[in-house]
Amino acid sequence: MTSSPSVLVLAGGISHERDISLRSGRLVADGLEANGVSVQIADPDATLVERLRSEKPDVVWPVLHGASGEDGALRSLLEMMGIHYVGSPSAATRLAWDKPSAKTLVERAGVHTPESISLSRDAFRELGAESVLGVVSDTLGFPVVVKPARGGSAQ
Amino acid sequence: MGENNTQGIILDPWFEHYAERSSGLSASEVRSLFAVANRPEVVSLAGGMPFVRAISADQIKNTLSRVIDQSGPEALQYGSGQGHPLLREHITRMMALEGIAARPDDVVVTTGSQHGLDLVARLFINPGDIVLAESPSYVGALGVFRSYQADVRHIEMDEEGIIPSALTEAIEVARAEKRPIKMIYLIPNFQNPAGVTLSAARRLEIIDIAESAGILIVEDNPYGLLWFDQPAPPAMRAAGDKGIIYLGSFSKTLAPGLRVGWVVAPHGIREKLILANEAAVLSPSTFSQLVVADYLSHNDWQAQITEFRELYRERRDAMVAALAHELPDISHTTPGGGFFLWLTLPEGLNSKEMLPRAVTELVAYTPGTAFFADKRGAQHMRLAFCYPTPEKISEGVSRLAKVIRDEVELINTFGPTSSSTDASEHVASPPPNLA
Repeated sequence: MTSSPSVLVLAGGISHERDISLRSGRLVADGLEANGVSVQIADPDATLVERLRSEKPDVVWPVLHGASGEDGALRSLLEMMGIHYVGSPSAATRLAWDKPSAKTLVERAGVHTPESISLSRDAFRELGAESVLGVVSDTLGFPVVVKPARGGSAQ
Repeated sequence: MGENNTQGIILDPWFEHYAERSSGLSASEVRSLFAVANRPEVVSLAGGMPFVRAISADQIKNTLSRVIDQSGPEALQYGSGQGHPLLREHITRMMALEGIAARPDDVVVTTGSQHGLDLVARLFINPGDIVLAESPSYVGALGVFRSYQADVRHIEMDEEGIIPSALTEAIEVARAEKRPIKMIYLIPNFQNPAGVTLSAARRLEIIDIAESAGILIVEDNPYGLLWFDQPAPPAMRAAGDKGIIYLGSFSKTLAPGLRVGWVVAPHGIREKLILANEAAVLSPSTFSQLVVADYLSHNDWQAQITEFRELYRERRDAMVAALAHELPDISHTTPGGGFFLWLTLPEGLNSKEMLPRAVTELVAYTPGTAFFADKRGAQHMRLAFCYPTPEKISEGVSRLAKVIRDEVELINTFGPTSSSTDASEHVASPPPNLA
Protein backbone atom coordinates (compact mmCIF):
# COMPACT_ATOMS: atom_id res chain seq x y z
CA MET A 1 0.00 0.00 0.00
CA THR A 2 1.40 3.40 -0.95
CA SER A 3 1.26 6.31 1.52
CA SER A 4 -0.91 9.28 0.64
CA PRO A 5 0.80 12.16 -1.18
CA SER A 6 1.77 15.29 0.70
CA VAL A 7 -0.04 18.33 -0.63
CA LEU A 8 0.90 21.96 -0.09
CA VAL A 9 -2.09 24.24 -0.64
CA LEU A 10 -1.12 27.82 -1.53
CA ALA A 11 -3.62 30.44 -0.42
CA GLY A 12 -3.58 34.11 0.53
CA GLY A 13 -1.01 36.20 -1.25
CA ILE A 14 -0.99 39.94 -1.63
CA SER A 15 -3.94 41.05 -3.66
CA HIS A 16 -7.38 42.43 -3.04
CA GLU A 17 -8.63 38.87 -3.59
CA ARG A 18 -6.64 37.57 -0.63
CA ASP A 19 -9.66 36.88 1.53
CA ILE A 20 -11.38 34.82 -1.17
CA SER A 21 -8.18 32.89 -1.76
CA LEU A 22 -7.81 32.08 1.95
CA ARG A 23 -11.36 30.80 2.13
CA SER A 24 -11.00 28.73 -1.04
CA GLY A 25 -7.68 27.32 0.19
CA ARG A 26 -9.24 26.27 3.47
CA LEU A 27 -12.04 24.50 1.60
CA VAL A 28 -9.57 22.61 -0.59
CA ALA A 29 -7.47 21.63 2.43
CA ASP A 30 -10.54 20.44 4.36
CA GLY A 31 -11.67 18.37 1.41
CA LEU A 32 -8.26 16.74 1.03
CA GLU A 33 -7.90 16.07 4.75
CA ALA A 34 -11.35 14.49 4.83
CA ASN A 35 -10.02 12.07 2.24
CA GLY A 36 -6.95 11.17 4.24
CA VAL A 37 -4.45 13.34 2.39
CA SER A 38 -1.64 14.99 4.32
CA VAL A 39 -2.09 18.73 3.77
CA GLN A 40 -0.25 21.89 4.68
CA ILE A 41 -1.36 25.41 3.80
CA ALA A 42 1.14 28.14 2.92
CA ASP A 43 0.68 31.84 2.35
CA PRO A 44 3.18 32.55 -0.44
CA ASP A 45 5.85 35.02 0.55
CA ALA A 46 9.61 35.37 0.40
CA THR A 47 10.06 32.07 2.26
CA LEU A 48 8.02 29.94 -0.16
CA VAL A 49 10.80 28.81 -2.51
CA GLU A 50 12.98 27.73 0.40
CA ARG A 51 10.05 25.86 1.90
CA LEU A 52 9.34 24.08 -1.37
CA ARG A 53 13.00 23.07 -1.55
CA SER A 54 13.16 21.74 1.98
CA GLU A 55 9.73 20.13 2.32
CA LYS A 56 9.52 18.81 -1.22
CA PRO A 57 5.73 18.33 -1.31
CA ASP A 58 4.46 15.72 -3.76
CA VAL A 59 1.89 18.14 -5.09
CA VAL A 60 1.31 21.88 -4.84
CA TRP A 61 -2.28 23.03 -5.12
CA PRO A 62 -2.36 26.76 -5.91
CA VAL A 63 -5.59 28.41 -4.82
CA LEU A 64 -4.31 31.93 -5.35
CA HIS A 65 -6.12 34.84 -6.92
CA GLY A 66 -4.61 37.96 -8.36
CA ALA A 67 -1.44 38.35 -10.34
CA SER A 68 0.90 36.17 -8.32
CA GLY A 69 -1.43 33.21 -8.54
CA GLU A 70 -3.11 33.62 -11.89
CA ASP A 71 -0.56 35.10 -14.27
CA GLY A 72 1.32 31.85 -14.74
CA ALA A 73 4.53 32.98 -13.04
CA LEU A 74 4.22 30.71 -10.01
CA ARG A 75 3.36 27.74 -12.17
CA SER A 76 6.38 28.41 -14.39
CA LEU A 77 8.52 28.35 -11.28
CA LEU A 78 6.98 25.07 -10.09
CA GLU A 79 7.60 23.56 -13.52
CA MET A 80 11.21 24.68 -13.41
CA MET A 81 11.61 23.17 -9.94
CA GLY A 82 10.06 19.92 -11.12
CA ILE A 83 7.15 20.07 -8.66
CA HIS A 84 3.77 18.69 -9.67
CA TYR A 85 0.84 21.01 -9.25
CA VAL A 86 -2.91 21.02 -9.73
CA GLY A 87 -4.37 23.15 -12.50
CA SER A 88 -3.65 24.33 -16.00
CA PRO A 89 -0.06 24.67 -17.20
CA SER A 90 1.69 28.01 -16.98
CA ALA A 91 1.33 28.90 -20.67
CA ALA A 92 -2.44 28.38 -20.61
CA THR A 93 -2.76 30.23 -17.33
CA ARG A 94 -0.85 33.19 -18.71
CA LEU A 95 -3.24 33.43 -21.66
CA ALA A 96 -6.35 32.99 -19.56
CA TRP A 97 -5.17 35.63 -17.08
CA ASP A 98 -5.41 38.31 -19.76
CA LYS A 99 -9.11 38.59 -20.62
CA PRO A 100 -8.72 40.17 -24.09
CA SER A 101 -6.27 37.41 -25.11
CA ALA A 102 -8.47 34.68 -23.65
CA LYS A 103 -11.51 36.08 -25.40
CA THR A 104 -9.76 36.18 -28.76
CA LEU A 105 -8.61 32.59 -28.32
CA VAL A 106 -11.99 31.15 -27.44
CA GLU A 107 -13.56 33.11 -30.31
CA ARG A 108 -11.03 31.57 -32.68
CA ALA A 109 -11.99 28.18 -31.33
CA GLY A 110 -15.58 28.86 -32.37
CA VAL A 111 -17.02 29.73 -28.98
CA HIS A 112 -19.50 32.58 -29.00
CA THR A 113 -18.57 35.47 -26.73
CA PRO A 114 -20.35 38.79 -26.25
CA GLU A 115 -19.43 41.71 -28.47
CA SER A 116 -16.73 43.72 -26.74
CA ILE A 117 -13.91 46.18 -26.97
CA SER A 118 -10.62 46.24 -25.05
CA LEU A 119 -9.39 49.68 -24.16
CA SER A 120 -6.22 50.59 -22.36
CA ARG A 121 -6.01 53.29 -19.74
CA ASP A 122 -3.73 55.23 -22.07
CA ALA A 123 -6.40 55.17 -24.78
CA PHE A 124 -8.89 56.83 -22.46
CA ARG A 125 -6.35 59.38 -21.31
CA GLU A 126 -4.97 60.29 -24.71
CA LEU A 127 -8.18 60.19 -26.74
CA GLY A 128 -10.48 61.51 -24.03
CA ALA A 129 -12.76 59.28 -21.99
CA GLU A 130 -15.93 61.01 -23.15
CA SER A 131 -15.30 60.57 -26.87
CA VAL A 132 -14.10 56.97 -26.43
CA LEU A 133 -17.19 56.10 -24.40
CA GLY A 134 -19.29 57.84 -27.06
CA VAL A 135 -18.08 55.29 -29.62
CA VAL A 136 -18.79 52.45 -27.18
CA SER A 137 -22.26 53.81 -26.57
CA ASP A 138 -23.00 54.21 -30.32
CA THR A 139 -21.84 50.71 -31.22
CA LEU A 140 -22.50 48.46 -28.22
CA GLY A 141 -25.23 50.48 -26.56
CA PHE A 142 -25.96 50.39 -22.86
CA PRO A 143 -25.95 48.68 -20.47
CA VAL A 144 -22.43 47.31 -20.81
CA VAL A 145 -20.39 45.13 -18.46
CA VAL A 146 -17.03 46.67 -17.60
CA LYS A 147 -14.23 44.35 -16.52
CA PRO A 148 -10.58 45.00 -15.82
CA ALA A 149 -8.38 43.19 -18.35
CA ARG A 150 -6.76 41.33 -15.47
CA GLY A 151 -8.03 40.34 -12.04
CA GLY A 152 -10.98 38.31 -10.93
CA SER A 153 -13.35 37.32 -8.16
CA ALA A 154 -15.98 39.70 -9.51
CA GLN A 155 -18.90 40.28 -7.20
CA MET B 1 -32.73 34.11 5.99
CA GLY B 2 -32.05 37.04 3.66
CA GLU B 3 -28.39 37.96 3.41
CA ASN B 4 -27.30 34.89 5.32
CA ASN B 5 -28.62 32.58 2.65
CA THR B 6 -26.59 32.52 -0.53
CA GLN B 7 -27.98 30.26 -3.23
CA GLY B 8 -29.61 28.05 -0.62
CA ILE B 9 -26.51 27.52 1.50
CA ILE B 10 -27.03 28.32 5.17
CA LEU B 11 -23.73 29.84 6.24
CA ASP B 12 -24.48 30.09 9.96
CA PRO B 13 -27.30 27.95 11.40
CA TRP B 14 -27.45 30.21 14.50
CA PHE B 15 -28.03 33.38 12.49
CA GLU B 16 -31.61 33.82 13.71
CA HIS B 17 -30.58 33.39 17.35
CA TYR B 18 -28.22 36.33 17.76
CA ALA B 19 -29.18 39.26 19.97
CA GLU B 20 -30.02 42.46 18.11
CA ARG B 21 -26.93 44.22 19.46
CA SER B 22 -24.67 41.68 17.77
CA SER B 23 -25.77 42.93 14.36
CA GLY B 24 -23.11 45.62 14.75
CA LEU B 25 -20.41 42.95 15.00
CA SER B 26 -19.73 42.52 11.31
CA ALA B 27 -16.27 41.63 10.09
CA SER B 28 -14.59 44.16 7.92
CA GLU B 29 -13.97 43.33 4.30
CA VAL B 30 -10.68 45.16 4.65
CA ARG B 31 -9.74 42.96 7.60
CA SER B 32 -7.95 40.44 5.44
CA LEU B 33 -6.02 43.24 3.79
CA PHE B 34 -4.78 44.31 7.20
CA ALA B 35 -3.60 40.76 7.78
CA VAL B 36 -1.33 41.24 4.78
CA ALA B 37 -0.04 44.44 6.32
CA ASN B 38 1.96 42.38 8.83
CA ARG B 39 4.04 40.81 6.08
CA PRO B 40 7.59 42.12 5.90
CA GLU B 41 7.35 43.33 2.31
CA VAL B 42 4.39 45.57 3.14
CA VAL B 43 4.94 48.91 4.85
CA SER B 44 2.02 49.23 7.21
CA LEU B 45 0.98 52.75 8.06
CA ALA B 46 -2.31 51.26 9.24
CA GLY B 47 -1.96 49.79 12.69
CA GLY B 48 -1.51 51.73 15.90
CA MET B 49 0.95 49.26 17.39
CA PRO B 50 3.38 50.72 19.92
CA PHE B 51 7.04 50.00 19.22
CA VAL B 52 7.44 47.64 22.16
CA ARG B 53 10.90 46.55 21.04
CA ALA B 54 12.14 49.79 22.56
CA ILE B 55 11.49 48.28 25.99
CA SER B 56 14.42 46.43 27.52
CA ALA B 57 13.82 42.69 27.40
CA ASP B 58 16.10 42.30 30.44
CA GLN B 59 13.95 44.65 32.48
CA ILE B 60 10.85 42.62 31.60
CA LYS B 61 12.62 39.32 32.38
CA ASN B 62 13.74 40.66 35.75
CA THR B 63 10.23 41.87 36.49
CA LEU B 64 8.73 38.51 35.61
CA SER B 65 11.25 36.71 37.83
CA ARG B 66 10.58 39.00 40.75
CA VAL B 67 6.80 38.66 40.39
CA ILE B 68 7.05 34.87 40.44
CA ASP B 69 9.67 34.77 43.21
CA GLN B 70 8.04 37.30 45.48
CA SER B 71 4.33 37.09 44.72
CA GLY B 72 3.85 33.90 42.69
CA PRO B 73 0.76 32.47 44.41
CA GLU B 74 -0.88 35.90 44.58
CA ALA B 75 -0.13 36.60 40.90
CA LEU B 76 -1.77 33.34 39.86
CA GLN B 77 -4.85 33.86 42.02
CA TYR B 78 -8.13 35.78 41.51
CA GLY B 79 -7.88 39.34 42.70
CA SER B 80 -10.00 42.34 43.56
CA GLY B 81 -12.64 43.56 41.11
CA GLN B 82 -11.29 47.07 41.62
CA GLY B 83 -7.72 46.08 40.87
CA HIS B 84 -4.56 45.58 42.91
CA PRO B 85 -3.96 48.34 45.49
CA LEU B 86 -0.26 48.59 44.69
CA LEU B 87 -0.92 49.20 41.01
CA ARG B 88 -3.67 51.71 41.79
CA GLU B 89 -1.12 53.60 43.87
CA HIS B 90 1.27 53.74 40.91
CA ILE B 91 -1.54 54.84 38.62
CA THR B 92 -2.31 57.87 40.77
CA ARG B 93 1.35 58.92 40.55
CA MET B 94 1.29 58.53 36.79
CA MET B 95 -1.90 60.59 36.47
CA ALA B 96 -0.36 63.32 38.65
CA LEU B 97 1.98 64.02 35.70
CA GLU B 98 -1.08 65.25 33.81
CA GLY B 99 -2.46 67.26 36.69
CA ILE B 100 -4.94 64.72 38.03
CA ALA B 101 -5.21 64.51 41.80
CA ALA B 102 -6.76 61.11 42.51
CA ARG B 103 -6.55 58.60 45.32
CA PRO B 104 -5.96 54.88 44.76
CA ASP B 105 -9.51 54.31 45.86
CA ASP B 106 -10.77 56.36 42.90
CA VAL B 107 -9.20 53.96 40.39
CA VAL B 108 -10.73 50.84 38.84
CA VAL B 109 -8.25 48.66 36.94
CA THR B 110 -9.55 47.13 33.70
CA THR B 111 -8.34 44.74 31.02
CA GLY B 112 -7.01 47.56 28.88
CA SER B 113 -8.83 50.88 28.63
CA GLN B 114 -10.94 49.40 25.82
CA HIS B 115 -12.51 47.19 28.47
CA GLY B 116 -13.00 50.26 30.65
CA LEU B 117 -14.86 51.96 27.82
CA ASP B 118 -16.98 48.86 27.30
CA LEU B 119 -17.94 48.84 30.99
CA VAL B 120 -18.83 52.53 30.91
CA ALA B 121 -20.95 52.02 27.79
CA ARG B 122 -22.62 49.00 29.39
CA LEU B 123 -23.55 51.06 32.44
CA PHE B 124 -25.02 53.99 30.59
CA ILE B 125 -26.16 53.25 27.06
CA ASN B 126 -29.62 52.02 26.19
CA PRO B 127 -30.40 51.29 22.53
CA GLY B 128 -30.94 54.58 20.72
CA ASP B 129 -29.21 56.77 23.32
CA ILE B 130 -27.06 59.50 21.88
CA VAL B 131 -23.29 59.58 22.28
CA LEU B 132 -21.46 62.68 21.09
CA ALA B 133 -17.98 62.09 19.71
CA GLU B 134 -15.32 63.96 17.80
CA SER B 135 -15.37 64.00 14.03
CA PRO B 136 -13.56 61.66 13.32
CA SER B 137 -13.40 59.39 16.38
CA TYR B 138 -11.54 56.29 17.54
CA VAL B 139 -12.65 53.21 15.61
CA GLY B 140 -12.54 50.99 18.70
CA ALA B 141 -14.86 53.33 20.61
CA LEU B 142 -17.29 53.44 17.70
CA GLY B 143 -17.32 49.63 17.79
CA VAL B 144 -18.21 49.65 21.49
CA PHE B 145 -20.96 52.25 21.02
CA ARG B 146 -22.33 50.33 18.06
CA SER B 147 -22.46 47.12 20.07
CA TYR B 148 -24.65 48.90 22.64
CA GLN B 149 -26.79 50.32 19.82
CA ALA B 150 -25.94 53.95 20.58
CA ASP B 151 -26.71 56.73 18.14
CA VAL B 152 -23.26 58.29 17.68
CA ARG B 153 -23.24 61.89 16.50
CA HIS B 154 -19.99 63.48 15.44
CA ILE B 155 -19.02 66.99 16.50
CA GLU B 156 -16.85 69.00 14.13
CA MET B 157 -13.24 69.65 15.06
CA ASP B 158 -10.65 72.15 13.94
CA GLU B 159 -6.96 72.42 14.76
CA GLU B 160 -7.85 73.15 18.41
CA GLY B 161 -10.04 70.08 18.76
CA ILE B 162 -13.78 69.78 19.15
CA ILE B 163 -15.61 73.08 18.47
CA PRO B 164 -17.64 74.22 21.51
CA SER B 165 -20.37 75.92 19.47
CA ALA B 166 -20.84 72.72 17.44
CA LEU B 167 -21.16 70.76 20.67
CA THR B 168 -23.77 73.16 22.02
CA GLU B 169 -25.68 72.94 18.77
CA ALA B 170 -25.64 69.11 18.81
CA ILE B 171 -26.93 69.14 22.39
CA GLU B 172 -29.75 71.49 21.42
CA VAL B 173 -30.71 69.33 18.45
CA ALA B 174 -30.86 66.21 20.60
CA ARG B 175 -32.85 68.04 23.27
CA ALA B 176 -35.31 69.21 20.64
CA GLU B 177 -35.70 65.58 19.61
CA LYS B 178 -36.26 64.70 23.29
CA ARG B 179 -33.50 62.13 23.04
CA PRO B 180 -31.13 61.38 25.94
CA ILE B 181 -27.45 62.22 25.44
CA LYS B 182 -25.51 59.82 27.63
CA MET B 183 -21.95 60.99 27.14
CA ILE B 184 -19.47 63.09 25.24
CA TYR B 185 -16.59 60.83 24.23
CA LEU B 186 -13.31 62.66 23.68
CA ILE B 187 -9.63 61.90 23.13
CA PRO B 188 -8.25 65.34 24.02
CA ASN B 189 -4.55 64.53 23.50
CA PHE B 190 -3.04 63.69 20.09
CA GLN B 191 -6.35 62.31 19.06
CA ASN B 192 -6.81 58.99 17.34
CA PRO B 193 -7.18 59.28 14.38
CA ALA B 194 -6.76 63.00 13.69
CA GLY B 195 -3.65 63.72 15.79
CA VAL B 196 -5.31 66.92 17.03
CA THR B 197 -5.03 68.18 20.63
CA LEU B 198 -7.87 69.95 22.40
CA SER B 199 -6.61 73.37 23.51
CA ALA B 200 -6.47 74.24 27.23
CA ALA B 201 -9.10 76.96 26.89
CA ARG B 202 -11.48 74.69 25.04
CA ARG B 203 -11.11 71.95 27.63
CA LEU B 204 -12.60 74.26 30.23
CA GLU B 205 -15.29 75.44 27.83
CA ILE B 206 -16.30 71.89 26.98
CA ILE B 207 -16.39 70.96 30.68
CA ASP B 208 -18.67 73.95 31.36
CA ILE B 209 -21.00 73.05 28.48
CA ALA B 210 -21.22 69.42 29.61
CA GLU B 211 -21.69 70.37 33.23
CA SER B 212 -24.52 72.79 32.54
CA ALA B 213 -26.19 70.28 30.23
CA GLY B 214 -25.77 67.49 32.80
CA ILE B 215 -23.86 65.23 30.40
CA LEU B 216 -20.96 62.97 31.33
CA ILE B 217 -17.61 63.44 29.63
CA VAL B 218 -15.61 60.31 28.88
CA GLU B 219 -11.97 61.41 28.57
CA ASP B 220 -9.91 58.74 26.83
CA ASN B 221 -6.23 59.52 27.28
CA PRO B 222 -3.87 56.80 26.05
CA TYR B 223 -1.37 59.18 24.40
CA GLY B 224 -1.17 62.12 26.83
CA LEU B 225 2.39 61.44 28.01
CA LEU B 226 3.66 60.83 24.48
CA TRP B 227 4.13 64.48 23.50
CA PHE B 228 6.87 65.60 21.11
CA ASP B 229 7.14 69.34 21.10
CA GLN B 230 5.52 70.45 24.33
CA PRO B 231 3.43 68.74 26.99
CA ALA B 232 -0.30 68.52 26.39
CA PRO B 233 -2.49 70.80 28.51
CA PRO B 234 -3.61 69.33 31.85
CA ALA B 235 -6.09 66.48 31.52
CA MET B 236 -9.77 67.45 31.64
CA ARG B 237 -10.11 65.32 34.76
CA ALA B 238 -7.53 67.63 36.36
CA ALA B 239 -10.34 70.19 36.63
CA GLY B 240 -11.91 67.95 39.25
CA ASP B 241 -14.64 65.37 39.32
CA LYS B 242 -17.24 67.42 37.43
CA GLY B 243 -18.86 64.43 35.75
CA ILE B 244 -15.72 63.26 33.98
CA ILE B 245 -14.89 59.60 33.53
CA TYR B 246 -11.20 59.23 32.77
CA LEU B 247 -9.78 56.25 30.85
CA GLY B 248 -6.09 55.50 31.20
CA SER B 249 -3.88 52.83 29.68
CA PHE B 250 -0.46 51.22 29.90
CA SER B 251 -0.76 50.04 26.32
CA LYS B 252 1.19 52.97 24.88
CA THR B 253 3.49 53.82 27.77
CA LEU B 254 4.45 50.20 28.48
CA ALA B 255 2.97 47.35 26.43
CA PRO B 256 -0.48 46.49 25.05
CA GLY B 257 0.14 42.78 25.47
CA LEU B 258 -0.24 43.16 29.23
CA ARG B 259 -3.81 44.45 28.75
CA VAL B 260 -3.88 46.79 31.71
CA GLY B 261 -5.85 50.01 31.74
CA TRP B 262 -7.92 51.91 34.27
CA VAL B 263 -10.92 54.10 34.86
CA VAL B 264 -11.28 57.01 37.26
CA ALA B 265 -14.90 57.97 37.76
CA PRO B 266 -17.15 59.91 40.12
CA HIS B 267 -17.78 57.88 43.28
CA GLY B 268 -21.20 56.39 42.46
CA ILE B 269 -20.13 55.40 38.96
CA ARG B 270 -16.94 53.87 40.31
CA GLU B 271 -18.96 51.55 42.55
CA LYS B 272 -21.06 50.41 39.60
CA LEU B 273 -17.91 49.95 37.51
CA ILE B 274 -16.42 47.60 40.09
CA LEU B 275 -19.59 45.49 40.03
CA ALA B 276 -19.65 45.52 36.23
CA ASN B 277 -15.96 44.59 36.14
CA GLU B 278 -16.62 41.64 38.45
CA ALA B 279 -19.58 40.55 36.36
CA ALA B 280 -17.51 40.65 33.20
CA VAL B 281 -14.12 39.24 34.25
CA LEU B 282 -14.33 38.60 38.04
CA SER B 283 -11.07 40.45 38.41
CA PRO B 284 -8.58 41.94 35.97
CA SER B 285 -5.48 39.78 35.54
CA THR B 286 -3.58 39.82 38.83
CA PHE B 287 -0.49 38.58 37.05
CA SER B 288 -0.47 41.46 34.56
CA GLN B 289 -1.18 44.00 37.29
CA LEU B 290 1.71 42.78 39.41
CA VAL B 291 4.00 42.80 36.38
CA VAL B 292 3.11 46.43 35.67
CA ALA B 293 3.41 47.41 39.34
CA ASP B 294 6.80 45.72 39.67
CA TYR B 295 8.05 47.28 36.43
CA LEU B 296 7.04 50.73 37.65
CA SER B 297 8.64 50.12 41.07
CA HIS B 298 12.02 48.92 39.82
CA ASN B 299 12.60 50.82 36.59
CA ASP B 300 12.89 54.44 35.54
CA TRP B 301 9.61 54.36 33.66
CA GLN B 302 9.64 58.09 33.05
CA ALA B 303 12.95 57.68 31.21
CA GLN B 304 11.32 54.95 29.13
CA ILE B 305 8.48 57.30 28.25
CA THR B 306 11.03 59.96 27.28
CA GLU B 307 12.69 57.39 25.00
CA PHE B 308 9.32 56.60 23.43
CA ARG B 309 8.71 60.31 22.85
CA GLU B 310 12.01 60.71 21.05
CA LEU B 311 11.45 57.59 18.99
CA TYR B 312 7.95 58.58 17.91
CA ARG B 313 8.96 62.19 17.32
CA GLU B 314 11.62 61.02 14.88
CA ARG B 315 9.02 58.90 13.10
CA ARG B 316 6.48 61.72 12.98
CA ASP B 317 9.17 63.95 11.48
CA ALA B 318 10.05 61.28 8.92
CA MET B 319 6.42 60.99 7.86
CA VAL B 320 5.82 64.73 7.65
CA ALA B 321 9.03 65.18 5.64
CA ALA B 322 8.16 62.34 3.29
CA LEU B 323 4.67 63.74 2.73
CA ALA B 324 6.11 67.20 2.02
CA HIS B 325 8.47 65.66 -0.51
CA GLU B 326 6.14 63.19 -2.20
CA LEU B 327 2.73 64.81 -1.87
CA PRO B 328 3.34 68.53 -1.34
CA ASP B 329 -0.21 69.51 -2.29
CA ILE B 330 -1.96 67.11 0.09
CA SER B 331 -3.22 68.47 3.37
CA HIS B 332 -2.68 66.64 6.64
CA THR B 333 -2.47 67.32 10.34
CA THR B 334 0.92 67.52 12.06
CA PRO B 335 0.41 65.98 15.48
CA GLY B 336 2.33 67.20 18.50
CA GLY B 337 2.38 63.70 19.97
CA GLY B 338 0.78 60.28 19.78
CA PHE B 339 0.78 57.85 16.87
CA PHE B 340 -1.28 59.23 13.99
CA LEU B 341 -1.80 61.90 11.41
CA TRP B 342 -4.91 62.51 9.35
CA LEU B 343 -4.61 63.01 5.65
CA THR B 344 -7.16 64.56 3.31
CA LEU B 345 -7.15 63.18 -0.22
CA PRO B 346 -7.81 65.26 -3.34
CA GLU B 347 -11.47 65.71 -4.26
CA GLY B 348 -13.07 62.59 -5.72
CA LEU B 349 -10.69 60.01 -4.25
CA ASN B 350 -12.05 57.30 -1.99
CA SER B 351 -9.60 55.89 0.54
CA LYS B 352 -11.50 52.66 1.09
CA GLU B 353 -11.78 51.88 -2.61
CA MET B 354 -8.12 52.71 -3.05
CA LEU B 355 -6.89 50.40 -0.27
CA PRO B 356 -6.66 47.17 -2.31
CA ARG B 357 -4.56 48.99 -4.88
CA ALA B 358 -2.33 50.37 -2.14
CA VAL B 359 -1.85 46.91 -0.67
CA THR B 360 -0.90 45.64 -4.11
CA GLU B 361 1.76 48.38 -4.09
CA LEU B 362 2.85 47.06 -0.67
CA VAL B 363 1.64 49.88 1.53
CA ALA B 364 -1.32 49.89 3.93
CA TYR B 365 -3.25 52.63 5.72
CA THR B 366 -6.59 52.88 7.48
CA PRO B 367 -9.42 54.37 5.40
CA GLY B 368 -11.14 57.38 6.96
CA THR B 369 -14.51 55.64 6.88
CA ALA B 370 -13.41 53.53 9.85
CA PHE B 371 -13.57 56.59 12.08
CA PHE B 372 -17.11 57.72 11.44
CA ALA B 373 -20.42 56.20 12.49
CA ASP B 374 -22.27 58.06 9.75
CA LYS B 375 -20.69 56.96 6.48
CA ARG B 376 -18.35 59.91 6.12
CA GLY B 377 -14.59 59.88 5.88
CA ALA B 378 -13.96 58.39 2.44
CA GLN B 379 -11.80 61.33 1.43
CA HIS B 380 -9.52 60.84 4.42
CA MET B 381 -7.08 58.29 5.74
CA ARG B 382 -5.24 57.72 8.98
CA LEU B 383 -1.50 57.21 8.75
CA ALA B 384 0.28 55.67 11.74
CA PHE B 385 3.95 56.49 12.24
CA CYS B 386 4.41 54.59 15.52
CA TYR B 387 5.64 51.22 14.30
CA PRO B 388 7.70 51.40 11.08
CA THR B 389 11.24 52.78 11.16
CA PRO B 390 11.82 56.23 9.61
CA GLU B 391 13.29 54.56 6.50
CA LYS B 392 10.24 52.34 6.13
CA ILE B 393 7.97 55.34 6.65
CA SER B 394 9.68 57.18 3.78
CA GLU B 395 9.36 54.13 1.57
CA GLY B 396 5.72 53.65 2.54
CA VAL B 397 4.82 57.26 1.84
CA SER B 398 6.60 57.04 -1.51
CA ARG B 399 4.52 53.97 -2.45
CA LEU B 400 1.37 55.64 -1.20
CA ALA B 401 2.15 58.74 -3.25
CA LYS B 402 2.37 56.63 -6.39
CA VAL B 403 -1.04 55.07 -5.66
CA ILE B 404 -2.59 58.49 -5.02
CA ARG B 405 -1.08 59.95 -8.19
CA ASP B 406 -2.47 57.01 -10.18
CA GLU B 407 -5.91 57.55 -8.66
CA VAL B 408 -5.80 61.26 -9.43
CA GLU B 409 -4.94 60.44 -13.02
CA LEU B 410 -7.90 58.05 -13.20
CA ILE B 411 -10.21 60.70 -11.79
CA ASN B 412 -8.86 63.21 -14.29
CA THR B 413 -9.61 60.76 -17.10
CA PHE B 414 -12.99 59.42 -16.04
CA GLY B 415 -14.28 61.73 -13.32
CA PRO B 416 -15.08 60.63 -9.78
CA THR B 417 -16.69 57.25 -9.16
CA SER B 418 -20.31 57.16 -8.09
CA SER B 419 -19.74 54.57 -5.42
CA SER B 420 -19.43 56.57 -2.53
CA THR B 421 -18.92 56.66 0.95
CA ASP B 422 -21.39 54.01 1.89
CA ALA B 423 -18.72 52.07 3.57
CA SER B 424 -18.90 52.52 7.27
CA GLU B 425 -20.67 49.26 7.98
CA HIS B 426 -17.74 47.42 6.48
CA VAL B 427 -15.23 48.74 8.92
CA ALA B 428 -16.91 47.36 11.99
CA SER B 429 -14.88 45.06 14.14
CA PRO B 430 -11.38 46.09 13.26
CA PRO B 431 -8.52 43.74 14.03
CA PRO B 432 -6.87 44.66 17.34
CA ASN B 433 -3.77 46.08 15.73
CA LEU B 434 -5.91 48.60 13.90
CA ALA B 435 -6.75 50.31 17.14
